[in-house]
Amino acid sequence: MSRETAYRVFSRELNSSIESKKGTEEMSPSYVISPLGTMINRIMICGVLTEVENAGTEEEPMWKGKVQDVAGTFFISVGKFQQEASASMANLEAPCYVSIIGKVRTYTTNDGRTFVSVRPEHIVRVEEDDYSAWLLETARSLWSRLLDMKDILKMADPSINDLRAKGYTEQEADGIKTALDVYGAPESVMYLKMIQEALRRLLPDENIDFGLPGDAGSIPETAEKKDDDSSSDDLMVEDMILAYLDEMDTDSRGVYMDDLVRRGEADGIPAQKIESVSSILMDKGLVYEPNLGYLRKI
Amino acid sequence: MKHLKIRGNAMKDEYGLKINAKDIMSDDVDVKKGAKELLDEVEGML
Repeated sequence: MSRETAYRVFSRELNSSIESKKGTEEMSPSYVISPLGTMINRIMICGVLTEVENAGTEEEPMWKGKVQDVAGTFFISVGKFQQEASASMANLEAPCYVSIIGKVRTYTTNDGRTFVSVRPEHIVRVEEDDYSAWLLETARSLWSRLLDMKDILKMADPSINDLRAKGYTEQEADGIKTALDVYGAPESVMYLKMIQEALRRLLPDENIDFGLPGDAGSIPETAEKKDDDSSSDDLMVEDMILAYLDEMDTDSRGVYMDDLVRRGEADGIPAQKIESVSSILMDKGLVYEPNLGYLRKI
Repeated sequence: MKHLKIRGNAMKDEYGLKINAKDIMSDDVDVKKGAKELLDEVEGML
């Protein structure tokens, strides 16, 4: 049995993967199938560890954690059988950059909602440069899979044999066919936004705006340029919120959200804008909530 | 974490792909250059 590839995917793609394929034989691998057709058993992720908590006991720990990338949050769970990862979790203090290689698990509730989590095999503390390298690799991987999907969507209802004939392996063809059957044509705008966010983070001096529409379209021809300046407004408010946090977080415990809103309102920024842009900053991995209702810079 | 460049002979068996390494050297990734290349490629397609 060959070792499963550790795929690089952003949190939002992983968390929207609700289809899985369970191994039927003893020791045969299980997979989560992403909307872009990647059959994921193992994953390599990187980001800011924003929360770490032992939900078990000291003798039998069960670590839960959250790792934030530019697209959202990975949910981490480490049980007693992942001894190396468990020992590492015990020594980590949020916030810090981490890199994780682990297996992907899904859990479906009685009302049909599916949650995806990562069970780390290895977890190490890394530096911001390593996060940047992962962002680039993951953005490249996503772009490549989007282009593949664009080609595939030109085929009318492709079969596994059609995909094999185009050069995909049996596993790749199986994943793509399943994804098209279960999820339909992927929402390319959402994925392009992830690439855009990653590139904005990697090239802060460039004014990167793909001008993506708010709704879904096929890739990339229907991605129309948008003519408004809401994104530049948001960037300005982002800078202001980061400056408020520098100014107000005097005890390094974060700033109470209500105080932040009042500070913004004094400068003429509506409360709703402060809240929405704070969420954007959290998605970008620039701030986090050390406690409920508090915001702190990473 | 270090990026490495490995040169050697590759072989594939029932356990997967293996490389018998002859040389291992550190590989500095130029993230800015790579990001600029990706940006140009994506913008060229939009």
